[in-house]
Amino acid sequence: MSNFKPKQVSFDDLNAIEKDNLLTAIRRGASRRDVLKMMGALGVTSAAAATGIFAGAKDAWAQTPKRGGRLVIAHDQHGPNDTLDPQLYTSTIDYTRGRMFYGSLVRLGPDLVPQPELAEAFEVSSDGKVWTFDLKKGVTFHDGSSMGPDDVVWTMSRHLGKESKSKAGSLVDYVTEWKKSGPNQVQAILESPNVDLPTILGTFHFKILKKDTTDFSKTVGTGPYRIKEFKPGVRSIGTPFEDYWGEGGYLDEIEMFGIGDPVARLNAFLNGDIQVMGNVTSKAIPQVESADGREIFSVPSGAYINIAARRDMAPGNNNDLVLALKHLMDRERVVKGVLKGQGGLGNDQPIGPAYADHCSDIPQRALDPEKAKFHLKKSGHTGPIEIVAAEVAPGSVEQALFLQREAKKIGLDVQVKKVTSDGYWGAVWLKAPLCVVSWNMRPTANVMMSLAFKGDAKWNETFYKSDKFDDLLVKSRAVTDPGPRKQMYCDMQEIIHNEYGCILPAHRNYVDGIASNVKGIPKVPLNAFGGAELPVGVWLDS
Amino acid sequence: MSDSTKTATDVADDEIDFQELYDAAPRQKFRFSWTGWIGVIVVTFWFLIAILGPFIAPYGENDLPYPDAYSEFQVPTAKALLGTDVDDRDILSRIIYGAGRTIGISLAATILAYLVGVSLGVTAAVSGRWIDMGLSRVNDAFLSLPTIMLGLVVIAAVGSSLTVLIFTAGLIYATIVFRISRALAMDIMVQDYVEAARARGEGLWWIIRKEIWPNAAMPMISDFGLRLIYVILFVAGLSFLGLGVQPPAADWGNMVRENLGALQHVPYEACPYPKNAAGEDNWLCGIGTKFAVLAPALAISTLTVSINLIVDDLSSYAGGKLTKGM
Amino acid sequence: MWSMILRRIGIGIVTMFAVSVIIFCGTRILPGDAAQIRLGQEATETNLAAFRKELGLDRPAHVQYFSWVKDTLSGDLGVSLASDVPVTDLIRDRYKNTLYVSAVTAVIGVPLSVLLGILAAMFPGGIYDRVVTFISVTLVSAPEFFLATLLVLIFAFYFNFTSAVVVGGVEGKTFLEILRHFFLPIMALCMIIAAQLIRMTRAAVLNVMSSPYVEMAILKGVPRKRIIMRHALFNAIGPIVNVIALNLAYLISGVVIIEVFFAYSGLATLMVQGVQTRDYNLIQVLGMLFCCVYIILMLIADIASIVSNPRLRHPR
Repeated sequence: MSNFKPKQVSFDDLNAIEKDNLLTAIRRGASRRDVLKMMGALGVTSAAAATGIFAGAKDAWAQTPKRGGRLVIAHDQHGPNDTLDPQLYTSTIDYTRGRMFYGSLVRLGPDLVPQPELAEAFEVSSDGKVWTFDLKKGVTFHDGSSMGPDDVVWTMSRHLGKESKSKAGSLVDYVTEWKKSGPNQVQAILESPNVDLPTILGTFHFKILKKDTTDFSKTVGTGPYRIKEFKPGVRSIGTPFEDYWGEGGYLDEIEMFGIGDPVARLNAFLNGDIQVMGNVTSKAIPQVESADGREIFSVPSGAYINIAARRDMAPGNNNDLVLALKHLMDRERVVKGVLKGQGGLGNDQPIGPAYADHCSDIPQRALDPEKAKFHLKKSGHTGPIEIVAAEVAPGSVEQALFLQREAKKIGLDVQVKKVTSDGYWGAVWLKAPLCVVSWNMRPTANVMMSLAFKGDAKWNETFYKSDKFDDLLVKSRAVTDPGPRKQMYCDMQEIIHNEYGCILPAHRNYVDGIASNVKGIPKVPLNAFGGAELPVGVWLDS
Repeated sequence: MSDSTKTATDVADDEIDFQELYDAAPRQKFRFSWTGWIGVIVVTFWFLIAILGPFIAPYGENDLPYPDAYSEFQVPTAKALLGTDVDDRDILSRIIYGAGRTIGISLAATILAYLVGVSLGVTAAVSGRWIDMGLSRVNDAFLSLPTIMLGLVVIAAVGSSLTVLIFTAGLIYATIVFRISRALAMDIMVQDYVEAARARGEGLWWIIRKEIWPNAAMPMISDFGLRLIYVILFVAGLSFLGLGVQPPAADWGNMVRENLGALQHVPYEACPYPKNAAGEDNWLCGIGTKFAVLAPALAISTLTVSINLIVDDLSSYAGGKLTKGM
Repeated sequence: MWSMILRRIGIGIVTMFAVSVIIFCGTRILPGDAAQIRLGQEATETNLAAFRKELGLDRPAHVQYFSWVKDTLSGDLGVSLASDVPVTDLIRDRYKNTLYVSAVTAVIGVPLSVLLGILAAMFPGGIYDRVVTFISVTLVSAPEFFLATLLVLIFAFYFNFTSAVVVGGVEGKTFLEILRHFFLPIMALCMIIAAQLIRMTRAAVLNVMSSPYVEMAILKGVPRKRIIMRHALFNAIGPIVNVIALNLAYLISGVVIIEVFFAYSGLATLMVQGVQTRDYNLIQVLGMLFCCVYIILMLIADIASIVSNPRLRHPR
């Protein structure tokens, strides 16, 4: 239940550059005191934290990656629509495979700050409308040809335009064009300023392809592994790419496939048939923990479950009723009982502590029948309320059932209508007055809020429009100065917290199972398998 | 069960029945064997539970016996006689509620399969060549596709609800009933006594009612029992793919499915009384936590085995006509 | 006899056309199409229309049907709508697993079950008969996934003898590795088909045993064992082969749950995935494949019963 404790800074939380500096210092024989000094410079003031970091760094030094070994990993969904075309990726297995075979311009660390990868450096023009990326030299594709600006421009342009098939098109719809601006440089021209662009380019769909790739059954990338076998819905196998430009690609072979059934997946993991298992159900966590040589790899994230109440129709158009429902949500029970502690309390707004722009100043809302009674009375609402629920994520149905139970105690009749999750998004979501929803984490707070809370957003599931919010959202895209930025983001989160129809009980962790000798997976909170970043740095301890 | 070694019994009885049966073959009076009686008792028991369900269940199907505890798979106690399931609910109550739903769905679907299958099958058998040909080819076409796939397509198209499940299972199994009833009817149609009735100039309806039905009834009833079992398993299979009875509603197949984890997973806290009064280990701690999955599995097994016991008696009485029909 | 067999073949061809129509209509009633599913939440009117055009889904239904029939007859099975991979590639990646598992299951399971069924029929009502009947009835009544879980617990965890799921396929594995990986699915399937086969074999043999000519033989004093071997078995071949054929068809197309539970990629799972992604081309090809398998197996069963039955062999 570490999520309830104040966050303890540890070695893993540092970004790659900080880690690197620290490791270099220790290699040169730095003492704990030296490390303390360095940490002070980084803003870590507590001696205990610095000591912890020192210990962590020494551990990490002792554990430099070893080469060799074979790794078998399995996540849940796979099928004939598995693809090697990054713009069509839909599942964790696609994302992870993409990480294995391809590279991207930037890479996101656990803090979601973009780090250089195929782009050596990147900067934004003063008006915020032109992003310039200097490409790393000497990077080659698996077929031996070298990567250049033409490849990047071609790849990135696939996401633009109205007829684009890209699943991530809406993340970059403010980019008007990509162009080559030098022998090793590309530029993105933006319609309106956006400081989040590099972060977004570090996500799954923006992997760099070779120019004019048409046959996606045998593509080449710049990733640490080359394709040995790819059979959609059967398995993918990667072997190390000997000319990989960076650190990584330590294993002799990685095999990856999907086991849809949770019981079968757990069987395979506990029996040693696979070494990394995606998506451990909360009920199975104690069992993994008690098994020899098997560990839980849990990454707190901003992913969440919620109940969306439409503010444009009854009963959700009555904000007092929505507030009553918010006070009737037993958040503790969702986190402890359903998620078995693998998550954090939600505060009726989507930007959880895993986001850099999370606002911790908003007081935590808790189960409070008295306040609920007050708001219910004020709303003047009578009669039953129906919540449509489906098993779309762990806890999605339970949150509604808990709400039902608490509402009954103050005389409010909440009915839970259970439907199948097949076709739920088309038939229920954005249609029913109240329904349960599940969201994945997005790379930045702005992306998340633009996607589902902006007044004119296609997925504005609570149908609420606040001019102040929309204005702040667009303006904040150009702001990098920490002070004003924090103020703007806090204001936006408070508006959602108080005015939107978003009843959000819990943020959930990504919970994977790994064999104890599997090392080097970064805790990137964007998806399972460390934000699907696993393949690059993973290695096996003997 | 002892059909092949049967010796002629109760000649006197036969002669009494003979009066009503006109020109049908002499029949032997039906009797249950002792295994058949066990079957009858168990099946009656489950049907009673199914009907009385809501009145005798100690809790509602989604109520928690321990509302303030988080742990699942509790061993049986006085509060929850069969323990709790994966979501802390009372297993006994869910079994009782599930009885109604499981038996209800399969019974309704099987009856539907029979209404459709038998009427079309007999129609095909007694009508002219072209109608028979048409019906049989369409039926063959459906039969050649895997049942679970047909179910998948229908449920993907219209969504899962009790009615949809009943109609899907009913229509899918109607294809097999069609095949059996057509074969049975064809078989009977060429028997001497039917030909005699035809020669006498009896109408088609009269022949169906007086000749075909009495001879086809027994094999049909025994197949009905088997079909009931297949429907239960079919719905359970759909539940495995997430398309059957939708949780949190209880259904036996669904219960086995959602509690499958209990077979492997026994948290220590799940046992409130690890030691009994004498200080020995409570043996229930091992198996007690597995009731969540064993109880519904056992419920399915007892029901289906009992139906089978009855079916065995019926089909040996019917002289194995069932096998010919397959 | 030959005319009868020819007639059955003709019936098979008619059935296949019926199936092609049913499958075609069946897939079109599914809500949503492959273009929608692939674009998912990114779908807009413009890119949806463009994608439909690319996939050929904008043509009228009857045009799509006839072009499919024409392509299929000329040997072109088309490209998967969900992934742009030729359907034949998807099938090629999976058919070996399906074929291997069902072949081994058939070779082990079928003779064993028939033998057990005959033995049960030899001494009906005896203790052996009761035990076998009881076991087969219990097996019939257990949901497939429950049976599979029990097998995993016993063989993978308790005896630590097999793997819990199949990793990879048949290719590139030594005999021992294949045994380790495929033991459980094959065992589960053997138990599932045995349950039905034993019951039907027993019933079929007993059925023949109650016919007048066997009763005559009994009255003549021919030993029971000889009656079964000489007369009953031969005459029971028809119904038994029929049940075997049904079970083999199930092994090719109906083993979704076992494939999912043991996580190997086979044709049945592919079909399920095809339905989920609205991949019409894939569903159509697999549906026709399953239909062919069924029809051929039933044809073989029919021929077997014609050959084994003198009354059918020499029709009046």
